[in-house]
Amino acid sequence: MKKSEELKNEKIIKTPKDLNLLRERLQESIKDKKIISICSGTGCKAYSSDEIYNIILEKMKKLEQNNPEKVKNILLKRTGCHGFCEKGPIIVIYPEGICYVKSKVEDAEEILEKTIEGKIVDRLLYKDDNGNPIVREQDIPFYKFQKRIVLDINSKIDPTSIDDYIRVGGYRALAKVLTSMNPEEVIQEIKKSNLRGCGGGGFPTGIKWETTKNAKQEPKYVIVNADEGDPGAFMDRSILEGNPHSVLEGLIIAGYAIGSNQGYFYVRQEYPVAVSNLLIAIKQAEDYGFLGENILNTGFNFNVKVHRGAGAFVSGESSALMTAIEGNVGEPRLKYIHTAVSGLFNKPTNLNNVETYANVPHIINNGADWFKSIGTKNSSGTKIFSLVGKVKNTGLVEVPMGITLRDIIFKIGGGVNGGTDIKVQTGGPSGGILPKELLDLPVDFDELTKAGSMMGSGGMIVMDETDCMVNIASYYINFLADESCGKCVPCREGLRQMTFIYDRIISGNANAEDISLLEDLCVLLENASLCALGGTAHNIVRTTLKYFKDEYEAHIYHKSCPALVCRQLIYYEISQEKCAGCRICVKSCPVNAISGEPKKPHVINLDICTRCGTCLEVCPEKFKAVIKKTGKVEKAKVFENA
Amino acid sequence: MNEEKFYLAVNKLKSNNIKITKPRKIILNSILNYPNNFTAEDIFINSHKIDSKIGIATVYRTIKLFEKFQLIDKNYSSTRKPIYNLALNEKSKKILKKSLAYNNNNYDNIHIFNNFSINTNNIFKKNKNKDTNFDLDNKNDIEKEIKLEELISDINSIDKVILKYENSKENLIQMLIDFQKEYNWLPKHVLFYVAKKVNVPLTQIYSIASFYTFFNLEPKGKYSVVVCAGTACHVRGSDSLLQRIINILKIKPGSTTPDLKFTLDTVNCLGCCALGPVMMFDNKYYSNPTNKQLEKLFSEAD
Repeated sequence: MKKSEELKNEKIIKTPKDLNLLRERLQESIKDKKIISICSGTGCKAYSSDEIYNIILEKMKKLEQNNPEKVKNILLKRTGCHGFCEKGPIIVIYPEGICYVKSKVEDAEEILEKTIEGKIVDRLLYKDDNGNPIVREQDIPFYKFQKRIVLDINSKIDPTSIDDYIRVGGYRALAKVLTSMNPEEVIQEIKKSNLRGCGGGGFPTGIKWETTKNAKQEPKYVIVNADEGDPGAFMDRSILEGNPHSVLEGLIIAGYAIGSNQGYFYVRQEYPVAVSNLLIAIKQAEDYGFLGENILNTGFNFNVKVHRGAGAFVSGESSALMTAIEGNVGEPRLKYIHTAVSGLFNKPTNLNNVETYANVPHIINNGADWFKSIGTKNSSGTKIFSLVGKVKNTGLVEVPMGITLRDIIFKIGGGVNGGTDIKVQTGGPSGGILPKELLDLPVDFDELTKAGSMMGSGGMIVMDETDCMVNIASYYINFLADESCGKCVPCREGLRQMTFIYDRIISGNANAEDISLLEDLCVLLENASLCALGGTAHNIVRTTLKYFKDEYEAHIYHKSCPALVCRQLIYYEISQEKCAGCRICVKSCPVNAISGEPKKPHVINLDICTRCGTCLEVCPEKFKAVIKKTGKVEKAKVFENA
Repeated sequence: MNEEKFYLAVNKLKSNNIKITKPRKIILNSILNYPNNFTAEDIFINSHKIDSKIGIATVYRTIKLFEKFQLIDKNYSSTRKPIYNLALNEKSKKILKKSLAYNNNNYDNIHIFNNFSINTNNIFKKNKNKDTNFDLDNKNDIEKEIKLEELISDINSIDKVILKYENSKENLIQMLIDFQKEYNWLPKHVLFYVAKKVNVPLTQIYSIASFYTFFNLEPKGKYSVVVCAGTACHVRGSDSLLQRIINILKIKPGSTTPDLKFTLDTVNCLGCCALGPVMMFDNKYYSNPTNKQLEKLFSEAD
């Protein structure tokens, strides 16, 4: 027991000088070594990156026994998300930065062998549009046009190792803040940097910190909001899974600046890796003395608790999140008194998003002016987007504020598969959909809001003409109605009525009044909702009504869905000329709606058909006999006494 | 000893879905004080002393009820007057003693259980024959009693979790997450127990358990089939994937197959949008599986 305590004390870093020495030692230890870093983000894991890791690990163990000289200079690391999910699993060899994409389990041994020899596996390299291979990670267009500040470290360190984080300069900002700056200076620095809340609202972080600091009551709390519930957004998850220490460091700095000794993490329990990596990080930080009593001998104490959220979208709202931490149902409250004055346990509380905290150490290290030089006048720094949907390169991208949507989609995302009529949805359920005319819009907090959408937490879903905007709007309104906590009437009942209206529209039963009804409800929700869940729900309805009114009209007046999506307004037909009567569709139809004899054209009984589309999928390429059509099909009338 | 008998009798009634009201409790206590050769009038006099609201009709009705469930035996005196005897036989007492001796420290805790149905058959919603009397020679009922022991052993693990979170209301959600992970749903008895231990109203626990999507108040299937309904998957066609799975499993999202094998759910984002539309089965990701692949997966799972 005593021994372990001594060992623990030995680890504790007491001065910034100790930290510098440790960092130099760690950097020395990997000098002349090659690092094989394998992405273990969720996307790459689904492409069996874990198996590749295990094969290389075993091979290395074998070689170590037989020929230790060979693998002496090779280090294998499992890192956080690299962002380029489309081409997963991503393997990068450092220090050269050789990037292998779409590796298979069979390629694992070859990668190791070639790395030992110092050669490159050519066939696994990324190929550009002309088929030319690109060797280095930073030359790939996907990475070339990004400005990776927060995500950069993700691909270089093992998230479960504090040493790795210290090696790349971790906790330097904390040491600087604690030993050479007073809390006032830290807040001034953040204010000067113009860092804005990356969770979606875009409230200036420095002002938030100052308000909390100036609030009279004690104790004060600082909270990390990692309750990322937006469908189609996973940047917070990637940061927490790939680099939890950066968030922790930002949180401790915030605690110091505000004068708080207790921090909370609110993480969705649906992110088990994030939770476990975070717990490991906290344990390690305690061991090194970055958490606990008397941090770096400065007399500053700080502790952190992790609170797992049990899955409720509305709990991501600041006041709802605080009630959830108190152990109650996560419902928001009216915010005539800001949470910065009376939040968690009715004490002053500062709450920021994961990404916001992850930016803090960079601002402290490089200065507010450096941060301000990135981005636009009103929105500094970078923003992470999860670029998904019909885009070619799906993944996480970090771009400077002010970049245009077109640049993100075409330069980084590599364009769209096939489609020409591009639409972009930003901001998750709180945002709106922008048409292709607005693709040259610079992406920052204010411009997006002006266009009727929102920055949101950073989901960016690219769609084309095969997506029905009415259907997407209906999807979001259903999502919001589902997640509404039910505390205030406008949100609970207003959203419910909206879902009824949308149901009518997409099933072809709506009439002209429904559009004005929707508009009325938008006014109600915007003005009378308790929190932002209902208060921003109008964005999706209004933007779709503004930019895609023709689609609404097609659904209402022509009972048709131009994008061939809405299930009640489409049907499948078998072309009598093209069908060769192979019976494949007859066999695979799950509801037995298709009939027909061999070698004779088949027919679909539309009364039974559930429009699942299986027949279209299985119809052989050479026939292409199944056609998707739009229009409302009335059920066949059965005359009983005929 | 009366406490044990009381506990057994209450359980017998509860297991037959009989409510334990205040008058019934008083009458039952009176019977336990005069276990042999009593008449309805005796019981009435005793009960009336405790609660003046209890009338003779209540006593007659309650005795008839107890008789129905063989808590008491009915005989006739020489004057053709009904005389009753308590009918908890020796065997039932033995089993009860065994379960109590299982962990003496938990004796108090058992009384917490007293307040709700311990009938596991009821919890698992299996078939139950409503007319089945509490006959201890019946094999099923003995099984019930053994399950009671399991429940008592549950107390230890529940206590551990509660202790881990320092018995505080603040950590209620964290406790429930742990229980949900352990049992795969939130059994009623666990919630009752936690409510008593942490000293929060059961309604509050219910409001939390029904508010957050992670908690289930019904048993879930052995395998979970999760279809991502995030926006990215939605535009890539998760709707049709879901419809195909519904066609195969023949259950709606959020429900479980009758054989408790598969539970079908949708989530907002699984975080691998590049693969969309994604299905997660048994913690593995599948990118837009075909009908054949699905059928193979489901039939191979056992």
